[in-house]
Amino acid sequence: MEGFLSLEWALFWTVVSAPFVVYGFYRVRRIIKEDPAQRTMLALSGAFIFVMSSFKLPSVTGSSSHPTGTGFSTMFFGVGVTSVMSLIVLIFQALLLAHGGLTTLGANVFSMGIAGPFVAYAAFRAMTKVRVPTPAKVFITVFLADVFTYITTAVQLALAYGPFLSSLTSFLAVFAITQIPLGIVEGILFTIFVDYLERARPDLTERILPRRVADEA
Amino acid sequence: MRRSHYYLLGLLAVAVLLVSAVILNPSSDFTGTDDSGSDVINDVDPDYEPWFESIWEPSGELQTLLFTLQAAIGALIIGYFIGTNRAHKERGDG
Repeated sequence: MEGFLSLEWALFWTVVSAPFVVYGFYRVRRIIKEDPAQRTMLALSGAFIFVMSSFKLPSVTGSSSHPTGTGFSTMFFGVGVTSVMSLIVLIFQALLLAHGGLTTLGANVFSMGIAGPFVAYAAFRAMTKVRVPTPAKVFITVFLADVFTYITTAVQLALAYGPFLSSLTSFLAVFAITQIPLGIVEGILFTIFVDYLERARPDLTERILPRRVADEA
Repeated sequence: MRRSHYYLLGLLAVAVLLVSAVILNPSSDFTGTDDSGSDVINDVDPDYEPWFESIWEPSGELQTLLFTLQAAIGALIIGYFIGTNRAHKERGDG
């Protein structure tokens, strides 16, 4: 989508995204310095975003799209760190693959690294409060991080190419509907991995997913 | 049901979702939403001209290679992690 956002909008989204990324870099540096266990989780978070966003998966709508892979990072580190990870992947794809684009980088960091993760993180916190079981919680968080990324893309494009409401319908039809089955796919895969991780390395997950009483008995 | 059965069931659901996408759209070429997104922009605002071109665009084959490279970097890290876990467990110090 290189060149498809006017200079004004490109600048606008860059300015909006910048503070999150700066805060994220600060968080990443502290994690790397201070906590080896967190370092492992950080590496895994980035690795998942690399793998998942490289896939182009077919959807029932007859188009295909990329999952985002950001749900894992969102769950364990929140929005700032996820925006940094997304930025790295988006630069890789913009420079080497002509995917996404440099002029749209700010807008893409916002949708993939900030807006999607923000909604997912809010839902994750709320679900933790009301004690939703871990598998359901992981699935919903990952699903939201994925689907809301593309809903945000649709909103961003509708803002740039009005009239807002009628354009939004067209863009949502392309981006959001296609993304729903992919969000489900991604949700299932991460639910399995987090369940594995909780069993194999509870020391890595317990900060965010406290050990269950039943497991200790 | 054993835990591994749930995992298998999950992976089966993933396979069904992806395969049904192909079966339900036998004539589709599965255009990426990024391309169809550009088409919608052309519908909504036919006069818009992209003002910036990609500095460099890989050919189809090269693109596949680079996407695979991206996936491989991530998969390597995840595989290394699972592998070291397993090794620790077998030595009994995990």
